This record gives sequence, C-alpha cells and structure tokens, in this order.
Amino acid sequence: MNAPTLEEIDARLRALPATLRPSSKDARAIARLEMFRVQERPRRRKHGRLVAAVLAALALLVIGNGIAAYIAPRYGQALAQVPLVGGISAKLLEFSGVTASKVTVVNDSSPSSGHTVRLVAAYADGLRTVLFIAIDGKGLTGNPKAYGRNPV
Amino acid sequence: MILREHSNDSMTTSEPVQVEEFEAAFRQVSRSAFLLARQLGRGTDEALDIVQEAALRGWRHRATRRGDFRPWFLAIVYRQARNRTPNWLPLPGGWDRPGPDAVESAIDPELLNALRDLPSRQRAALWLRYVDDLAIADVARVMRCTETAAKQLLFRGREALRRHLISRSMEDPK
Repeated sequence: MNAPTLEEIDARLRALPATLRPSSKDARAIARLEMFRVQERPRRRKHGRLVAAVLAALALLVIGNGIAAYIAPRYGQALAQVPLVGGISAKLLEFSGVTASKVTVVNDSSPSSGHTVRLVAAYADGLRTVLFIAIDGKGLTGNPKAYGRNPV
Repeated sequence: MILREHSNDSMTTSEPVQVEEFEAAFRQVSRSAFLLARQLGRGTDEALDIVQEAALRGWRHRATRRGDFRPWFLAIVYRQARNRTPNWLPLPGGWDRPGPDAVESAIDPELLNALRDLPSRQRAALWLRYVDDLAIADVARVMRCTETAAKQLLFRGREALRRHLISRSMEDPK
C-alpha cells in the first residue's frame, strides 16, 4: 500500500473539477438558477411602530375626550364648537349624552335682590341633571367662579 | 462536464451596474455558488434558496462591491450558508456534511468521499481553491480570514485528506 503524498493529493484535487458531475436533482436546480432574474422587490416599510404609536395616541385622545365630555358637559359643548374637531366630537357628545338636540331650552328668568338668574337650558338623564344657568347675563361665558363677586 | 465556468468577469469594478449586467455575472457564478452551498451541507432546495437570496441581497447591496464579482458573490453565499443555522441549536456532529448525492466524480470518488468527511471550513477552502479555482487571496476574502489563515486551512485540509485516504485504504486494502 502506497500512502499518497501531499503532492499527489494536490494533483488529484486539481484534476477533480473536470470529473465532477452534479446529481440530476442538483442539475435541475442549477438550471433553475440560470433562469433566475433579479427583480427589485419593494422593500418592506418599517413604519409599523410609528403607525401603531400614532393610532394609539389617537385612540387615547378620543377616549380621553369622550370621558372628559361625559364628566364635564361644558367641555363637551366646547368641544362641539371647535371648527374641525366639532364634527367628529359630535359623535362623542352623543355618547356622553350632551347634544344640542337633547338639551331642552327653557330660557326662563327670575330677578331677586337686584340679580337676575336665568335658566337657559336643561338636560337630564338617568345619571345626571345638567342645568345651564346665567346670572346677570354671565354664566355660559366668562369665569363661573366670578359670579356674585361683582354684582351689577 | 467541467464545473469551472470562468469567467471573463466583466464586473471587475464597483461602477454602478445595470440589472442585465448583474444577471449575466450572476449566471456565470450561480453554479459555483450552488455547489458551494451544497458543500456546506445544505440540501438541494435550501441551497437553491440560499443562492437566490444571495442574488437578491447582492443586487440590493451592489454598490458596496469592491473587486471581482465572483469572490464577492461567493462570500455572500458562504455567509448565508454558514449562518443559516443559529449557533445555539444543538446539532449532531457532522450535520453540515454534504449529502452523498451532492456531486459525483466518475474518476476519483474516493477523494470526493474523503473531502466530505473534512470539517466544513477546510472543505470549503479546498473546494474554493481547487474546484472553483480561486486565488488564495479570494479564498481568504470569501471566508473572511487572512491569507495566512486561508493557506493554513488549505494545508490542514490536504493533510486531513491524506490521512483519510490512508486510513480508508488500510480499512479496505483492495
């Protein structure tokens, strides 16, 4: 038995490519590769997180406004009067119950001790009763905490 | 069938390339790339996927290419084929050996069998150097090592082949 030398191994390795034959399955795969075309595929947009964050912020805003409008009807009214958002917030106000159609206009006034208390409108449901009151013409606008301090 | 398919490598510079030019260069190297992936222990379908994926990746990053297309593309395939399996996965020894049906040699099947038993890096180095006829510098480039390390891998690979052939001939003295 002759042990092959490194030179012989080298020569055999050099002769190897000329004798190599891929299996039929591999040959088919190679043929498929030769038909392969590099096409520009649209890269996946990695804005998923940003979109999710924006959606979450919007959801938070809508829910927060809904809750605030439910707890503070005046906030709901103010929201309804905002030019662009008002249309959207109308739905929320319907949810919170305070809509113009559901508020009954009373507009009745009573003078006493030089002051005039006017009941502008009222709203009531199973949970709450909301009265829109103006004192000396103030109330629906201005600072409510200032009522009575500077009587006319 | 001769497996070397060189290559008047038209894409030797890193100028902007058109898709047709890239595809022509890819076609010249696709067979070598596929067989390299097979030598790294990948099955036929997986090797096909690897080479196609490498082509897409190569096309996307074509601006980063420096030097010849062939070693650059084979380096992508080598990396893809080697890194496909995570390191933490407990695999049996020799899992990355090519299957017996990867390639056949009508004249020297013994050498091919011995090659199959080598560690994957030595096998890849020998394959790139002798079957793909790459220069040692290109072998080093594909395998991301220094030229000295590539030379060492080749030397150790040849030594290991010799030992394998001797032990096989002792087992089967016919």
